[in-house]
Amino acid sequence: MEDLGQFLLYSAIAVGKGALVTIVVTVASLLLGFVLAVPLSIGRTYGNRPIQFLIQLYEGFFRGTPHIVTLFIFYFGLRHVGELFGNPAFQIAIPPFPAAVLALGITSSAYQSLIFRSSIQAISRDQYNAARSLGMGRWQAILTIVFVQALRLSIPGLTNEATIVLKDSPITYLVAIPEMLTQARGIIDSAMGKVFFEVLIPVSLIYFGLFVLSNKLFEMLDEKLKIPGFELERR
Amino acid sequence: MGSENILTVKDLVKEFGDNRVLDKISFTVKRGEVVVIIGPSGTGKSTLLRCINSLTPPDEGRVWLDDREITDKHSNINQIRQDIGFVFQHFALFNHLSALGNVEVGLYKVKKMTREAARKKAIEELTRVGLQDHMEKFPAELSGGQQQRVGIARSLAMDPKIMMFDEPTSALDPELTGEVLTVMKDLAQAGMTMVVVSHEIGFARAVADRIVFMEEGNIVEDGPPEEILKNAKKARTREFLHKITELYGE
Amino acid sequence: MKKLVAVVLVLCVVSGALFAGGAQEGKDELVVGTSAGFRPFEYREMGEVTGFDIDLMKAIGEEMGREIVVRDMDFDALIEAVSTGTIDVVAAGMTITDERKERVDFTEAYFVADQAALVREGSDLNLNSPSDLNSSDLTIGVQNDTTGAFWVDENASNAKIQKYGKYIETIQDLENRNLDVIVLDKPVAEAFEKNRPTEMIFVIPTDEAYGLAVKKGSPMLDDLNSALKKVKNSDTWDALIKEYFGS
Repeated sequence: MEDLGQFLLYSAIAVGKGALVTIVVTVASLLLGFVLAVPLSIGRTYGNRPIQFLIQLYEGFFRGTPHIVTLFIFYFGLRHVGELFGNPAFQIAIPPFPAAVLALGITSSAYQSLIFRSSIQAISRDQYNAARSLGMGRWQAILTIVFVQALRLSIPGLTNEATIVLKDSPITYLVAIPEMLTQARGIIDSAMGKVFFEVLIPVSLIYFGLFVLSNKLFEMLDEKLKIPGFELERR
Repeated sequence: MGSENILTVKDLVKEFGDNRVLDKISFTVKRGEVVVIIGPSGTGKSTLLRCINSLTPPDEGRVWLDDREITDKHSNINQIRQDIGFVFQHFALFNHLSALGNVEVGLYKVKKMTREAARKKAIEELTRVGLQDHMEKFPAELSGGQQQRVGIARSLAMDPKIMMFDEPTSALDPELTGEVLTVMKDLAQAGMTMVVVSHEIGFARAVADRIVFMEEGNIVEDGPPEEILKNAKKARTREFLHKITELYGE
Repeated sequence: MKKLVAVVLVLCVVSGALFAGGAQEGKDELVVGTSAGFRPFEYREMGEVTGFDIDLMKAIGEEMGREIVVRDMDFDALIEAVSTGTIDVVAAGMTITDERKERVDFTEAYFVADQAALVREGSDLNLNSPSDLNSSDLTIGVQNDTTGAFWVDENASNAKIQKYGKYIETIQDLENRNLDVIVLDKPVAEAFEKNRPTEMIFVIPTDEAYGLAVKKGSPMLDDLNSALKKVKNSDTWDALIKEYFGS
């Protein structure tokens, strides 16, 4: 790779591929987290005691366990699950990409559930009462009146969560996911260590750029869902 | 149950911890009657209304709307609630919907009307309360009086048999109470059955068929306005009215 | 609001598709575990893992009628990975040793190499033979779990030994003067010598042979061996040697 131009091109391609993987892993994990967090937060707020207890366990486990450990459980750990039942041949073998998204996504769902729950609680109980007074059923009132507003309130929390998952994504290299940091290390390696900061600084800037982009997207979402009059006090 | 009584409440009991907020309350409301409930704060007036439509289920006692028992576990409570309009002290408008949205939502989501039919009816009701020029506005953009009128329109749109008002003007600035009371007076004159918890004695005098005085979870006195306001039988009633007229000057 | 829900649902479906695509590891695919960073056997170029071992496995895969899928991970994770079936075979310049044979089965050797000692260009440590490495004044760097690491543990235990996940980290610390000398496989040392201000001062003859590793008792061993044999006897093999080692 004597040719600087060629080196830059090859490197850009490598980092580009890595960035794409980083984005896909992050977005897929956030989505999984979201889809799980909606019923979790609603169940924890409105469900009966047993349900609340189970959800509390779930939240506690995934928020309290280091994300790397969760990742290992899904990728490596589950392959050993048969040994627990005396049947070592039985494995739950999840390939790298699903394992990474499951681990990051389920972890994120525990955090997102907390975000939604606090938003739900911020919505005055009379909103629910008014909906029921009109004759809406329990779930209709919860979903169409309370939760809709709670989602709107959750946007700042979700913006933050997106950043966290993005910054978590490099740990997936441990399960053979070729995300951006892996690619960066590969370039450094290919150049025999001749470059180091020259690679890491641009890559850091790209992570930062993704962070800015993510924030901007949420800002736009916030703007779009703005409730007229409500925001007046904020400015 | 005679078909005259649209609402029957029998031996309603509600306790919050050691506090017995409703102590075997019984009363009836006839079709077209306007009943105003007065009394010191915290005596269970709001709780009474919320127990009637089971927003707060009572511990003991039974409630009937016409001949449908609300307190019966097998009743379809959601369906019965469509016939009971409820107006909240703090308006409880859906913040994410415009005035129009607030009024139509019950129509297309609960009564299953088409969106066009729901919109049409919502516009009618909002016009009825004088808000035809504010339909696209959101609750945060409306004054308290306007919000409460939307709340009334929202309940009216469901064509209820009876309207209940839980201190509808207590959260309003004095200048704004007038517009809401006017709407309520018109409603009464149009023949709507109403149960109103309020301090507005002027409104009671003008429009009520009966005034009920509640204290400490009990109905102390129940009679026509002339009687209660001028010649209350119980000393406590007179004491309370005295205090009220001092406060609200009437 | 409805549009938002629609967008989210679409994204969910797309992710699901990607997910599922990854979830189906075709039964015919051969999952190869490696650890990029060991030129010229496996390294990253333009974002993809490539190198002698990769091309060799592609050829073997062809012989076996299977497509290969490459998984890049830390070297010391490979044996665990193949033992649990996370990967089917290890192709990572892995030396056949008795200790390793206790945990995995190896194919016939496909490459023979020695270890070598690498220092900074111009450093005058006066090291002339392997026994000189056994000095408490020295800090030696090795890649964790490699035969270089084992050799140093056994033969240079007086020295301060530092273990790393990837070779490039040892090179960096060598240049930072955190290390005095690195012990690593000769072909890789030669590659580094060409490209970095380093010097290969002597060879440590260990006569190591690289083999492909599979899970202990794996029925795949015989197929791999016969495919390997066919490839070694073919023109493909000559071409590979020329490409990666003919200078």
